[in-house]
This record gives sequence, C-alpha cells and structure tokens, in this order.
Amino acid sequence: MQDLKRLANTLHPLERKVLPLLEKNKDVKSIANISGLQEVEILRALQWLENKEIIKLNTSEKKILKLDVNGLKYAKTGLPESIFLKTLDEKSLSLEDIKKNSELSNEEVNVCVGLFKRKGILDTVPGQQVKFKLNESGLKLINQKSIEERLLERLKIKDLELDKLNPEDKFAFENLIKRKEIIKIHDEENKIIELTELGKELLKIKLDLDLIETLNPEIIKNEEWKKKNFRIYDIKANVPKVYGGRLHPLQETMNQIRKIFMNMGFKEMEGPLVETAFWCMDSMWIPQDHPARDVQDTFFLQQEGKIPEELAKKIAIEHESGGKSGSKGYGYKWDPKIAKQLLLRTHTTATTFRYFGEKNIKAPAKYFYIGRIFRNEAIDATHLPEFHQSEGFIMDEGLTLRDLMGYIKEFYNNMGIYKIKFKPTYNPYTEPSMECIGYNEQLEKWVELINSGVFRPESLEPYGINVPVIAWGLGVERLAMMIHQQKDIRNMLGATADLNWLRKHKVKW
Amino acid sequence: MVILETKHSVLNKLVKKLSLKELEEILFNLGYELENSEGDNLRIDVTTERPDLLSTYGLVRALRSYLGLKNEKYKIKKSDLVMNVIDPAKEWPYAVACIVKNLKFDDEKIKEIIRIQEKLGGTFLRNRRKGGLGLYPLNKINFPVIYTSENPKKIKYRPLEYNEEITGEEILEKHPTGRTYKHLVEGWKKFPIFKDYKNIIMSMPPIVNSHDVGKIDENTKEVFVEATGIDLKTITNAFNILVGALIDMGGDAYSINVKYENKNLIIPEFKEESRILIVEEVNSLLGMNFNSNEIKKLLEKMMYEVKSVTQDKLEILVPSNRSDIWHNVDIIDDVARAYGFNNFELRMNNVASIGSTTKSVEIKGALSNLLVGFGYQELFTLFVTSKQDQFDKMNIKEMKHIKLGKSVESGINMIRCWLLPELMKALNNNRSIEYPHKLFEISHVTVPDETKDVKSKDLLRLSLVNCHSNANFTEIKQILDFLMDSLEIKYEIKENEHGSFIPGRCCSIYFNKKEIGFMGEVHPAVLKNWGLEMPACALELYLNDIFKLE
Repeated sequence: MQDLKRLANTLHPLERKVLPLLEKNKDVKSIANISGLQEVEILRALQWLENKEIIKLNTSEKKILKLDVNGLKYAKTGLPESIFLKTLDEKSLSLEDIKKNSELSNEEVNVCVGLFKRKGILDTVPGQQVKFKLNESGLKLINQKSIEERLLERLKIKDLELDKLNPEDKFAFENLIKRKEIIKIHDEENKIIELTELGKELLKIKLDLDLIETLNPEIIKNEEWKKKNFRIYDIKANVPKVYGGRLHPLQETMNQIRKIFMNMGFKEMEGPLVETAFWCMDSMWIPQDHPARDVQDTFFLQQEGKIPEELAKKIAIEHESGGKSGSKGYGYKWDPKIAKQLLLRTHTTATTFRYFGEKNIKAPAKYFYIGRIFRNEAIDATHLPEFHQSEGFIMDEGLTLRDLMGYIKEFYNNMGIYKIKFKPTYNPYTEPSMECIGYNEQLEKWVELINSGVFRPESLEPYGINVPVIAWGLGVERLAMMIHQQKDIRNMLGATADLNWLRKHKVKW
Repeated sequence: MVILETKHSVLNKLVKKLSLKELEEILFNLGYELENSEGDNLRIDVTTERPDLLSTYGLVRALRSYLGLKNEKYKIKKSDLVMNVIDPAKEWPYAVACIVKNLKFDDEKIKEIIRIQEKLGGTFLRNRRKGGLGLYPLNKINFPVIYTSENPKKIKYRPLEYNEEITGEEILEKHPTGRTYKHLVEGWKKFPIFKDYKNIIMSMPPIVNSHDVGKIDENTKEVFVEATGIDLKTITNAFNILVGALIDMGGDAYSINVKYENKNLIIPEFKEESRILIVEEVNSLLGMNFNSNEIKKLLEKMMYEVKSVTQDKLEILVPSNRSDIWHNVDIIDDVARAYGFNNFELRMNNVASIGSTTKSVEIKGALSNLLVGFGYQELFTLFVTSKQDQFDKMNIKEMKHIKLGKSVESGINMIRCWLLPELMKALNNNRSIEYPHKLFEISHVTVPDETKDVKSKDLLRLSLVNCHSNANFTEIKQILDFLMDSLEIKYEIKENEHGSFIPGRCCSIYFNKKEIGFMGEVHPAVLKNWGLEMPACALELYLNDIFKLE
C-alpha cells in the first residue's frame, strides 16, 4: 500500500488524467476524444506509464489508404476514362478535339484510346483526319460508375484501412495503386493499451490529484507546501542537452602555457605579424640563401619594408665575415634588398630579435611570447597556412646548456610530463640546438614538442649582447591536439572548426 | 630534413656489426634518426647542415669515428693533367675537377653515386642554384680539358639519353632535364661548357652531360669528376664529398692542375682547417668541468684530429668535409654530442625576474569571460583569406588591405582587415550543427600603415555573431549595452549605411567622438552569399581605439 501511494505521487498530471480513462479505453484516439488532450501528450503519458510498468503497450501497424494528388482530382472529376467516354458520347471526334473538349492530357488520352481499343468498344472512323467513335457496348458504359471510382468516392469521405477492404474494393485498389499518385499508403502505428496487474491495483486507490507540480513563489509565500505533497519526479529520466559558451581549446592551452611561463618569472612580448625578412631571418644570422626563404615556404607581400640602417650594417658584417664574434661568417655579400622583403612571420623568434634590437633588454631577463605564425603550405589534416608558436628566452651570465635542459625539464614538469629525452639537432641561429622529447603517459608514447638551443654568438653580437641567451619554443596546436586527442587541425583552427567538437571538448588539467 | 638511403648490410661491413637497435640509438645520440627500415634498406634522417653525411661513405666515417675505429685519410696522387678555365660564364665562373682510377663500379655503387649527386644538388647546392656536379668516363676524354662558355645557339651536342645532337637553346626546350633547370640559366648570354682537347663538348653545366662522353656505366673504371658553380668554397665542398665517396669505394684519386687566368689550383685538396679550442670556452657553454684530455677524446669521436693539447687549450684540425663549422660553438656542440646530450646533469641557474603579461592579453581575457558567460563560443579563425570572402560575399566595396604574393593554396590573396567575414565563414561551415549559433573572436586584423617599418599595423578587434531563427538587432544591442556598461564606457550610436547589414538596422558606435565599432542585422543577401537560411546579427568593436593600445 505504501508503495502504491508513492507510485501515485510520482504521476505527472498528464498521467493522472490518462490513467483513469484506461479502464474503458484501449487506444489513443478514444482517449483523445474523451480527455481533449493532444495525441502527443497522451503518447508521452503512456510512455511514462509504461516505464513505471503500470501499463503495457502493444504496438500494431495498420496500412491506411489515403488519396494522393491525382486521386483527389479524380474523386471530383471522375477518372480520365469516364471523362473520355462522356466527351465522346455519340460524336465522332479527332484526337485533337477529344483533348480540347475533355481537357485531358496527351498521355491520358493516349492511355484511354489504348484501353478502349483493347476492350473493343472504340471504333475508328476513316476520313481525311482519323476520328474515333464509340460502338454500342461503348455507349452503354457512359453513365456507369466503375468500381475504381466508387472506391475513390469512399476515400474522399474517409481514409480506409487496407486490411478491412471488401473484395471488390481490394480489386479496385490493386488497379489504382499501379497508377500514378492516385492512392498513397500510410503506415500507422496503433498502440493497444493494456493495464498491468500493478496498474489495476493502482486504479483502485484514490489518485491524489492535488500534488504540487512546479514550486513557485506563490506556494512558498502561502505555505501551501505544508498541506500538500510534491509530485515525485523520475529523476533518472533523460533531459534535453544544453551547451554553454566555451573558451576555445587553443585558448585554454595558451592560458596554460602562459601561466607556466609567468609562474617561472617570464614577461610576455608582442610583435607584428607582417615582418621584414630582416627581423624574421637576417637579424638572427639565418643566411640569405636559406631554403626557408623560398616562396613555397613563406608568404611574401608585394611591398618592401624598412630596415634599421645602423643595425643592418652590423648584421651585414656578421653575415659576411662574422665580425668580432669569433666566427668566419658565411663569406657572401649581404644584400639589404633581400632583407627588406615583407613577409608573414614564419616564427615568433622574429619578435624575440625585435626585442633585442628595439627594447634594449639587459641581463638578467626572461621573456616569452605566444603568437601566430605563417607557412605557405598546402592544407591537410596536419597543416594549415598558420598556427601558433610559443617561445621563451632567458638572458643571463653563467647560463649553460645544462641550464637550458633544466629549465625545459621544469617547463615539461609543469605540463605534467616527467620523462624527457634530448636529441641534438641543427638550427641556424642556435648552437648547441636540441629537440626535447617527452613521454606522454596517456598516449603511452614519446612525442616531440620542444625545440631549443643556445643563441649563437653571431646572432647576438650585433645587439651588444655578450651574455648567454638560452631559448625554447613549442607548437601550440600540436600540444592542444595531443591534449584533446584531436587528429585534424582543421577541426580546431580556422573557420573550418567543428562547432560540435568545440562545444563538447573535455576539460583537461 | 634530408633522407639518406642506405643499406644495413653495407654499414655492418664498413663500420662494424650493429643491431638495428644499437644503430638507432647511436644515430639518435648524434642527432639523426632512423626514419624506417625495410629489410636491409634503411632511411636515415640527417640534418641539412651536414652534407658529408649525405653519402653512405660519409656516414660510415662518422660512425667508425664515434665507435673509436680508425678512418684512413683521403689520399691524393699527383698527375700532370691540366684543365684550363678560359672565359667562363660570368654567372657561373668556377670549376674544379680531378680524375679517379681503379674504380670497380657495380649497379649499387652507380646508384649510390647518383644519389650523392642528387642529394648534394638538391640540398647543399640549393637545387643546383649554387653549383652542379658531373662525372665522365676518362677514356673518352682528351686532355687538356677546357671550361669555357659559348652562345647557346652555337652549342651543339647529344645530351644524356637523347637521340640526336641539338643546340644548347633546344636542350632547354626539348630535354627533360633541360626543362627542369631552364630557369637557372634564364637570361644568360653565354652558357658554361666543358670541352676536351678535340673540341668535343662534354657537358653544359649546370644542365646536362653529353650522352656520348658524359655517361658512366658498370664498365667505367676511370672517371673525370667536376664541380662548377657560383662560389669556389661551396663547390669545392660538394666536390670533395663526392670524390671522398669515390676514394672510399676503392678508387685512386689523381689531382689536376686547374689553371685560371690569374691563379693555379691543384685539385682536389682535402684541406683541414686548424682551430684553437679553449677549455674554458667549452666548459662555460656546456656547464661542465672537462679537462683538455677529456675534450680531446670527445673530439676524436667526432672525427676531429687533435694536434696538441695543453692544460687550457687544444689545437685541432677540422675534418675537410665539414662545411658547418663557422665558430668554436659548432665544435663545442660536437663535444656535447660525443658526450651524449642525455648524460648531462640538469641544473637551473636562478635568474630572478617577475612574470607579467600584456595589456592586450588581459583585455582579451576579461572580455572573453563576459562573452562566455553569455553563452558565446570562442573561435580562432585564420588571418590569411581572400578578397572574395572579405568584401564580395559581405556585399561591400574593397577596403584598404594587405595583399599577399604567391600562395600555395588558391583562394588566399590577402590578410583579413575585419573579423566578421571569417565568423560568417564558420557559420557556413557549421550549418548542419544544432542552432542557436553564438560565436565570438577577439584577435587582430592587419591594415596598411605607411608610417611603419612593416607598412602595416595589427589592430585588436572583437567580433561576435548570433545566428538563429529569431536573431535580431535588439539582441545584439543588449550585448553591446552590457559590454559597454561593464567597461564603464558611455557610447553613442549613429545610423550608418553598411552593405553587410539591413538598411535602418545597423549603426556605428562612437566613444569620445571616435568610431569604436559597428553592428547590425546581417543583410539577407549576405546570408545568401554564405549559404545561410537563418537570420544573423553581428557586432565588431575596435579594441585598439577603446583601450588606446599601440
């Protein structure tokens, strides 16, 4: 009894309306008629009642016949064949005249001629122009209604169920369904409702129709809740999905990187996206014939920029002969014209060297940058013409390769990566240079994320920097894709981003 | 990234027996990578600054040295043969050459030679822009050889794998290699040629050899080798790597006396540069406490010859085929590689400083927070875009913008000068995703500015767009009100005309008499251009002007 009472209190108002009707009514239509509820509401209530095992729903399928486009027309006018017969009547008419008088289409007239010729009720009248005439048996048919037309008239009044047709109608249906858009078949699901034992029990007790549905200010004020029961909700029921606004996963990754750098005492830099080749390459001792300067790797602008003249002189010497840095230099003639080319920066180190050249940075100093960079590349799952790079440098007396390794290890630890390996590599403006490979515990594999090095003396001398500068950088997308296990960069960056994925991406620490 | 293709069995024979795993580890420590292996075939990723490793024989020397095995120095015998350099093309003035005898070529060795030539040409010689290499069967050549130049119309010979003699000009049009490298000699009045004493044309560098006298095969025992190009140092380097490989294949190299108008060179000369390395220099860069003998041992693993050692310095010889030693730091890097990067004890010298970020980053963070609270999804769209997207589809006239030169992707020809079109593009790409769509981006646009060294400036903007069945002006103005109120900005609005928006439903936004943005209901014609069947309203704010950013 206690259980039944509780069960009664879980009933939604719709359920409470529908349930008492189920004793006498077993289908949705009749419940709709009696209750005045909409069919969708009843169906929802029935679904809930079934979930609570109060009723059992047996679904049967019915095939319902309805008039289609042509059927609707013919139900009014009669079928083309009777129009044909009525038009011809006792006259002799040419095909053209029949069409004109009957307003039937070419196709319809041709079908009728074929049909009636086969039945032997239509004769041809010879002459200049071929005419048609009905014979005796044909004339008898004029005012007879065909079984097909009778079916159409009945369907005009109401839809019929296929299984309930009498044999004559069934025969007519089979003729009509072969013809174009006269009858359509509609599959109708019919639910037969059956009360379970539990349902029958429930009907015996009085259903408390006065439950509190939605708690509102009124009820709180007048303390109605003290007198009434709350309806018990089905708290396990599924609810519609909602999505909130989110920061972009790349922004989240950038914020994480920014936090690590700032915690380690780094100051953030900023610099222009359009750069001169001077700041992007020459300023850090990248030779003027370096492959990165090829058009297929870099976006060039159709304009030249300006370069700082005094510094350019020093850079020229550094490239040509190594200046006083202890270097041999590249041994070529440095060309200021090449340095003036404007381009979309290919790495954030352009900004690092702008800071060396323009901000007069003094040791000890730690700076970082997170910025957009560009490559003139074909687009695929791992390449877009632009992406983000993050890099940091430290300038101070006494810094060594070992310190670079130590700082990188610290940086990785902050990202939750503890196992790392170093691999020497080549980079035109750092020596030694190294890649740092971290072991990703989740993916269970080694991933290369960081590139690093000690800036070459040739790259620093023009700025009067005579203390070591160590630096490292990483690709932001690469890291974010790894964190979020996203394999296609296009789903993340650019207007091709997948909004569904952005809405649903997981929170990562 | 450059790939050296070689064979495991060859390395086992010429270095010592190494398992794939051992080899992989040694390569990793040296800074290279076993990219993949298929049976005996290995693909090794070596870095571009070491052209000497582009030949199997070069790699063999490096590995032997690293493992403590001795390498023989390259030996050169003298010959009295002469090559005259007379009136060379001014664009391609340098040539060096020598001969190599007693070669036992087989199919594999010929392939290796071709590989070295191609890899050096493609990387170190920058697709032959800096120089080219050639080999000829010695028995078909009569000395003295001449390196000179000639009007391309008058050059006539049968290029490699071609059926008939054609002129230099025709080679550029008809011969496949000629077509590939045609751009190298564009505009040259005279083309470089090698010819022998009997005036037989041997080749037309840097394009193609003669089929009759410039083709080597398995029967070739003796060769004439040459390199030509724009810079003597570079071509000598490439030439030495090729000749070194021929010597390591078992050949005997004989020098040639190359006579220029004003100098004589005896080629080849495997010149080892002498350098002084200070112990302190090494230790201060690496953070180590090596003594000079420890450094000596490490240097020897990396093919350096140490002539003398004192307590605080070493006199060393740099291997002749190393073109990447500009400074002592390059040698110290090799010391570190020999020691093993993963053997260093890590440390973190304390560098005291206080972290900080920029005003732009802080503004972006604060505004993003407000918008996310309103249910806006942040986007990161691209800077590179097209005039069609930025202007045509938005129904507006072209604005001043930064044009881009050649792009690999068609449809990229400018940098964005406003953000909204890129958000519209995102709406277009996400038409099938459940609505409502509320998107925002806070990022830069780039506009021309002649006063700047880079002729442009990046401006921070905020753009947002609502797209759903009843998106309207009120909705967007509510957001503006909220944002401006949060920022304590008293703004004014003036109706304006903007092709992207419905007339009478768009406006400019002003603050202190300065325009700081615009907003409106997006015009149905624009919606149609972007394939959208939902109304949209949008706002774009000039954060630079609002916050006086520079």
